[in-house]
Amino acid sequence: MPSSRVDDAMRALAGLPGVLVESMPDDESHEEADAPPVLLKHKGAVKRFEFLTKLYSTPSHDEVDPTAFLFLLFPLFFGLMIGDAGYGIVMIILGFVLSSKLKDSPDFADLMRVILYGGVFAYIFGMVLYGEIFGIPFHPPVENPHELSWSALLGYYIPYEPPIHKLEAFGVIDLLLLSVVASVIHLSIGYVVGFVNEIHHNKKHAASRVGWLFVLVGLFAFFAVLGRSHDLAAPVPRVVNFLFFDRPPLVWIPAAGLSLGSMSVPYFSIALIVIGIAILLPTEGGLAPVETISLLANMMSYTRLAGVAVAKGAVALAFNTMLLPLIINEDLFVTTGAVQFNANVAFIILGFVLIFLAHAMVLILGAISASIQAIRLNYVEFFLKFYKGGGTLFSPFGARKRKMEA
Amino acid sequence: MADGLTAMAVAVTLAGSAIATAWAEKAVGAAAVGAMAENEKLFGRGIVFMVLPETIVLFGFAMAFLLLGKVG
Repeated sequence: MPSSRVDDAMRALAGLPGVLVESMPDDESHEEADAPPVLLKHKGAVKRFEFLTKLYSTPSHDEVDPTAFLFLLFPLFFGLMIGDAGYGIVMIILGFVLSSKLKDSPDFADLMRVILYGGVFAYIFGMVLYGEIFGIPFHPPVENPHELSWSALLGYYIPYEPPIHKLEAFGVIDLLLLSVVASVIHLSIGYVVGFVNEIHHNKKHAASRVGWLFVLVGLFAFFAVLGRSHDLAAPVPRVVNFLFFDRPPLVWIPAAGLSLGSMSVPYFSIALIVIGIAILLPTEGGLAPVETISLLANMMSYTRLAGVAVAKGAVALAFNTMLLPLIINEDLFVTTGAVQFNANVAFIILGFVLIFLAHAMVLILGAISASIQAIRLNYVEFFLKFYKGGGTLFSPFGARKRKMEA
Repeated sequence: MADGLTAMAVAVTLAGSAIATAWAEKAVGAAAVGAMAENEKLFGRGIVFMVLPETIVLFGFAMAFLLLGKVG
């Protein structure tokens, strides 16, 4: 019986004639062998993400249930990787239609609802951050001013310069640095929750989480100093600089450091990493300094956010440049930017059909790879920091549905 | 000359890490399909395990991109 309903049940039983209610033994010291089963209680949107937690493992009764974090972080990562307003809209519509039609397979309906939330973020990032609809950017990249863009296709200059262009080298570096920021935020949440989970069990394990947090911030400080603008009066026009690196508190990190070859490692990060390892040595054992390398690998793993985003954008662009010549006169478009339709109507129809099929493929493959990569970041990088699982799901002997008379 | 060699290095980095990923995923994927034949519920976990080696190609991608910045 769920613990929140014990009082109700006691009261109901006490109301019956001839039943004597004794108080239940309320001991907190459960043995490992008979750990109580867990009832996951989520409402509304968060409930749709429960299956993602269960796919990894059911939470045990004494740890934080990570479903709420998945609800916040999965659609965010998914949206960053799709990052296309056109695909976002299609995902929102498909997710909504399929999740409300498919009542008889609840797992698939939940998955579609999760894709819907991801699609919302994909739309927002596609519009605001990348400026891209169906693989065609608002404006051509600076390297190739004659490449396909909505401004040229529509013959109207879209009065918005998106901060990141996926197909410019400058934009990709920005995305890579943004993924490092995402890794630090994500992993710190993991260590803090790990600390909360362990503080009642094992003080030593809880302290090790603090040590890891020191090492993590130390590693991040290195990237923050590396990526920051040298002259704050004329900052590098990168989103990551504007949002994080050129702002307090990161801008306060002293840049002075030890130079190793062409790189300079700030004393600040060396100090933090040394403090972290000093905490880790007594709590995690002698191998801890080696393990800090694996933390760096964890952080690098988030570059998949940038990698999938760029790869998907490039595939969509490749299909567009291959198939659009069926619809419009390409030579004229490349040289003057004028849009002139193909004289042969059959080619135009064929072009539209092929473009539709190509984008359907990119959309489905993109949705699969982005959702797998987003859940992987949560399972491997995030859950391992705090989540053990291995609980058993509460399943009541039976519950009768009350019938309502109309 | 130096540009050409750097561009070659970019190609080798990406190709090498991609081959490594494919090699690892081949083994994991085969095992995952085998496990799924026993128990279909393992599909979700299997697909997650299968993409674990993709980290290798991502390292390659990041390095290739940093190298590409040195071309031309």
